Amino acid sequence: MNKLPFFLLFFMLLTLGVGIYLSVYFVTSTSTETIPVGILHSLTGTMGASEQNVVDATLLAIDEVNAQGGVLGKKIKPILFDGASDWPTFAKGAEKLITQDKVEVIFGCWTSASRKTILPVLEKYDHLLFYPLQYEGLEESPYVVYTGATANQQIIPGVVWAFHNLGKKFFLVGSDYVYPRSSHAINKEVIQALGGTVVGEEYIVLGSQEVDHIIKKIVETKPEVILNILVSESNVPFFKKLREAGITPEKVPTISFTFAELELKALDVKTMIGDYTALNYFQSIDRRENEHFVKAIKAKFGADRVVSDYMEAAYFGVHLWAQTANIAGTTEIKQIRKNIKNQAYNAPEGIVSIDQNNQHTWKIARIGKIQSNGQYNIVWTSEKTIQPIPYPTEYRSKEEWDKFLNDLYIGWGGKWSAN
Amino acid sequence: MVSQLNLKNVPIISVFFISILMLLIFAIGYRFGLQWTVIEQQNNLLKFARERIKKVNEYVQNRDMILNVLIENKNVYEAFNEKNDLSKNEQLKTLITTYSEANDFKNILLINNSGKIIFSEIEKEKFSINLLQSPYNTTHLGRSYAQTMMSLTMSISSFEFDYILREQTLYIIKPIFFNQMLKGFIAAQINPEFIYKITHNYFDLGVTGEVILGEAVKNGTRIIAPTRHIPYQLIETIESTSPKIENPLHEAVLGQEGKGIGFDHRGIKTINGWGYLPVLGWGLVIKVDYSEVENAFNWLYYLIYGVLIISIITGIIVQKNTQFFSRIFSYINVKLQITVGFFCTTLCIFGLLIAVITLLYQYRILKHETIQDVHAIAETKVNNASEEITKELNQVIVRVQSIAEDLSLGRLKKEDIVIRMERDLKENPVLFGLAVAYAPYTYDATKKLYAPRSTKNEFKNNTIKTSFVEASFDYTSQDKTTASWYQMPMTQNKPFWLDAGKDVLTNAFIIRYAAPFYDVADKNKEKPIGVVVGDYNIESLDAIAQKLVIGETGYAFVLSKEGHFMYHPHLKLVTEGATIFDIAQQQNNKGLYMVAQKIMNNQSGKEYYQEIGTLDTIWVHFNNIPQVQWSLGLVFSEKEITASPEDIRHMRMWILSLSVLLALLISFQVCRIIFTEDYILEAFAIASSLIFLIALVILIFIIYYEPVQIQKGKEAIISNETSLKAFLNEQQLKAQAHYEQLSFIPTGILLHSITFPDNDHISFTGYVWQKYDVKDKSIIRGFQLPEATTYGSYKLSIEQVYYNVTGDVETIGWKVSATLRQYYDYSEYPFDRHRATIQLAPKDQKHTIMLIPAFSDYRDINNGKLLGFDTETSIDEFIAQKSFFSYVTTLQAVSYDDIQEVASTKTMLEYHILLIRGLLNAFIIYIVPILVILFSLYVVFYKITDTGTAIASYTGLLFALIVLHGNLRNNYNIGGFLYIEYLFFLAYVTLFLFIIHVLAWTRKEKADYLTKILRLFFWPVQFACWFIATLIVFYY
Repeated sequence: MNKLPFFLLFFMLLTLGVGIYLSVYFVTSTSTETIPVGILHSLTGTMGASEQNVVDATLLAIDEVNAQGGVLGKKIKPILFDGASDWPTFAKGAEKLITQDKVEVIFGCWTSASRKTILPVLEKYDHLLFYPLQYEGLEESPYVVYTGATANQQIIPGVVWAFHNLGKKFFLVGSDYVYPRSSHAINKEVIQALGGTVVGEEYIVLGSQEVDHIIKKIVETKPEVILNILVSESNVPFFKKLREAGITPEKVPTISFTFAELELKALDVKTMIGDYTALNYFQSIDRRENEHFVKAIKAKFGADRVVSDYMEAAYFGVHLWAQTANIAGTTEIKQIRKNIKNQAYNAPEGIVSIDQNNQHTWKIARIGKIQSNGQYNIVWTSEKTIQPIPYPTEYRSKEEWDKFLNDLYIGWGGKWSAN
Repeated sequence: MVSQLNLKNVPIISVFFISILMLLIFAIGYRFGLQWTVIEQQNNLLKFARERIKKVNEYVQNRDMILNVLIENKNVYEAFNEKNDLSKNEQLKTLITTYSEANDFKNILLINNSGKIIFSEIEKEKFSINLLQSPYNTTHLGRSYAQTMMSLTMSISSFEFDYILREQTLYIIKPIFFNQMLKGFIAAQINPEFIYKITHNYFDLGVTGEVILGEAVKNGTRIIAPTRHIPYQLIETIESTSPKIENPLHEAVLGQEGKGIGFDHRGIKTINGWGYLPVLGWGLVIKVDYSEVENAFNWLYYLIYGVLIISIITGIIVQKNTQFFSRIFSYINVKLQITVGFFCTTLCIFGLLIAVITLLYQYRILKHETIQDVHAIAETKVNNASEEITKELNQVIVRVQSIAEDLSLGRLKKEDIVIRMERDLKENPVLFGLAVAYAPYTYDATKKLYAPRSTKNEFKNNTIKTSFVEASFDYTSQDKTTASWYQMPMTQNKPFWLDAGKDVLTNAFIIRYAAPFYDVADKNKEKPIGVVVGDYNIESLDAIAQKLVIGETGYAFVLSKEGHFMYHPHLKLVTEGATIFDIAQQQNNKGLYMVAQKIMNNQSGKEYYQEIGTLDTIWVHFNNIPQVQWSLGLVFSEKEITASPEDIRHMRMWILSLSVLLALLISFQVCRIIFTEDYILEAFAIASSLIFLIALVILIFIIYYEPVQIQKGKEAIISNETSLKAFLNEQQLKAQAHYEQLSFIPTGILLHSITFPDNDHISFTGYVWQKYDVKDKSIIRGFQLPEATTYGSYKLSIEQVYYNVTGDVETIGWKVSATLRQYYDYSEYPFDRHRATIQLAPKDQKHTIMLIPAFSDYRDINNGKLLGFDTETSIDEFIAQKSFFSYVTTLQAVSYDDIQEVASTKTMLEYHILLIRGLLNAFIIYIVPILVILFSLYVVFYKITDTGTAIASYTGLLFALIVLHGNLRNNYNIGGFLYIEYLFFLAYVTLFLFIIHVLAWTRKEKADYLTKILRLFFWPVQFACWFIATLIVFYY
């Protein structure tokens, strides 16, 4: 038999074989594997209504990441756990997500009390939480990536701005748990450093509607500015009673730190026009990325949905984690922790980045004034992102702040809130 | 003996298969090899970027820590308690100076809680400045101070030009606490050398590597430090979106880390690694030109060509050793009868054919890949801009309709109308004005008309002023030019968008939305009692359009649903109410007319037309703005966005060269098949002459018709009003920061003639005109030509011939005749190209004046004619291809280590004409005579057999050649060779050979052989030499 046709035939068969192999390889390379991630928030209880919004924003970001090809070519699979506004349940939820569901990361927690409760669980399993809420600081855990603001990125600019623009006599009000207590402790230090005065300070149990005594005190002490860190449902009776007592924004403006577009929906906006909120994100920010974010939220969850600061922080937290995992080439916690330093993301609020030392986020601070349409008119914004400083050591040392927190914890009977 | 091959069982496909396989292996090798190298380079660049980012972070952190030590010093925090002038506090001064020098700070400032600078280490001018007050609150130091003051946290300023210190400065600012009390702030000026060390470290970055630092600004990205390719870039530059694909710097400044291929600030394809510096908010890109990597990899290309050459040589060897190879071929055992030489030549032909096809394919990719990228970008840009415009127009509609609705429902009281309008204007940046116009006696039974109107004053910080329209004219009149905004909604009882135009009261160019409102009792809204009007300033469209520039002359326009220009960079078209159809008719351009029709019918898409005169392909991307049925268009010229003309020329030359080789081989094979052995050489000589002649003509076409491109230097090219506005905005900002009052003087130029008296000069005659504000007599009228020479026979004449005052505008015209000193390179004669430049400067040197191109006066700007030319302009033997304005900044640099810093700058207007030489002159004067000499040489050689007559004839031809050559050198006396001289040298060599031939006549046998060779290959060799010389000269 002639060898040349055989030679040709061999090459043709080889080419065909390689072609078939490559086709099969590319068709089957689209993996069906998923990466489980945990979402740990309250869906019921006093925090349920608020935290549901953060869950929605987290799910939206997960959808977007999956639509862009997922993480390392795999889709992310969210596993949800309801913390039920109960801090021990949060700890149980964290343990379940880590040990049973084998999640690679947890996105969750709203209150500092819930975060502090699950910290020992995270430490035990060397795991990682992306925490989306602005908080008091005074913490620097390698087990948490903080995408919300620290005091110097939100509360302090709010107080300083109020001092220069609204008045120098302050009344402090808040829910009785670790975040408002600690934040007001910092506020008092800042007011003192600036030369202002604190005329009163009152707290109510988290979720409580009993606000009469606070209103009475405010009327009596005649402050020039109210600094409000009431959380969630307590804001509604507080502002209603405040107006009933004749205290309007024109007379005594309130500057809030946890009250935003979502909470405003529950109140008569007309009575709120002129009050302020200090946050890092407002729905009214004029940026292309924000426009996309707001549109996406409305498209997915309904045209009447409004967007708030913590939703945005939860949203970009997911993107940051996915971006880091793709760069690191793994979802392994240690590698994520190593690679997330200096990682930046063009978020709806602006370009945010993770600090190389403390896993907190460099963020832009903003102060918004409530308008008739239920949105905020931004009256002040920082020039650039502000460095996150968890411990404001200008006023007390780190040890003194730690002692302050420990005293609170002991005072509340080994819990992070009064109830 | 001719060997016979029997190749029956070697089907022709096997020859193809082996050739294709071989070239495929090399092509794949090239492709993957290059790809692998590029990926490797990207990884390296990303690694470099990460390392440098880490260094910057560490450096900044160190500065922060170092400052912490200083602010804990008693002398520093106690300084804030002092009532006296701190500049006299020697102890403090010594402390800070020592500290500053030891820690690489350039200056240290102390600022109190009220924003006042109470101490400055080196700069007295900064004392007592209050950073919270205008204009210092808008400086980078002022802005950063405000951030630190509010957050009580360290902040780092932008890296911006400080007009007091006259250098780029970067500050780190920190609050100072003592005993838990805020004492004040410290601002330390960081030595920028650390930045330059980053951007000037090219280690491992080859010859084209560059490090760029940039930050995001509103209109794009700003390069903030000098780079390798822009060494003087110390003054801010807004970098518009790249005309090709997005620049990696845009990604970097938006916080992304990455690697990949992109196009840089010069529009050049680069391999990049990039990242973000969170501490400073900067993006960093490290890149090398793609061509550098590609060139380094060209050995595979050479390998491919080497293999082809080896194939040819092998063919020859095979032919020479037929017996040996015939045994090998016989072994294959085939029956087809062909010669080994034929077989090998055929193999070479297939190889070359494949090479030519491969190159043609690559050429296609080179030409079209970039165009596809640009189309994709253009589409995205147009869509985004449409969305942006829609959003802005919606804001106008919403405000107008909400006022109309509130008036109709009685929610807005008559007495609150002005307050409401002023509030709405204040809250909405896109609104220029609001008005409410009542129908006669509907506002008040005793008052016929009532129409309050609030407008913004752009020149006074957007302050709002309210006036009454009825005081100026009767808006209920039927005058369409002034009252259509009232008449149309009233008569047709529906809202309207009105065409763009100049507002009679404010002189602003506006687009107006008018909606009727009704009496509270008129529930069915049947009879309007007035109109609410919202004005949208065309300047807002201008800001959007400025982002839509693609290529050098690209621009955007907006059309109303009737085809009227609502926005066009040539504002006159808007003010005159011109339509796109008018332009098409005026230019007699059917293509443009068709495109216009498609724009008016389609929702979105892209179309093209040929420009009359230049025959350039012009692309128009368009999209509909649904709310108002307008169309947004983006126009750009295809030739401005294709791959670089140099790359295309190289590729074309390679294709041509290989095609010539291929044609020669084919013609040789054909000659062997058709002719008997005696005539093969003759036939081949004729065929090869024709091949080289055709190739020469094609080569000349390639060189001569290569698109003329503006070689961008440091100047800012101003091709239309859009690019002018963008440039002037930037200049205005700089002037404001420098507290200078900048005056713009529109200046136009119209040329009558241009001549080139010698290599170093250009003479021109023409008109220059300028427009002044008639009220401002302090400015000295006139202009200067800084490059004009007046020595010897050169004269400068500027004679005023025109003066006119219309309204506030004083127009002065001068007749100009001048000779400017400029060097021209004629080495590529007659295919040389030149840029003639006329630099214009204001006569008045006391004021800060910028001459600006008077675009609105160039009537024919859109008729395919060149700017500054009329039909009678004569330019020696040249043809003008393009004319444009530019600004050049002349720098006076001072040395700072190895970095150049700008001491002062001056921005001058320049008018340029790009010229190519008309070939007719050179053809008649030189080419035809050379051809005649060569032909005569050939005839003498062919016909004259007598030695004496032959030598006499050759001497005569040599003399003619020398005279012609002498004439050429007299006319173009340059140092080196002219291209055309190669033709002369070739003729000399030919003559020399022919003379040798005459001398060899005595040895008949040799002479016969030589005669045969010379006769056969005279023309093929002549044309081949011309071809090769042209190829070599114009390849580089």
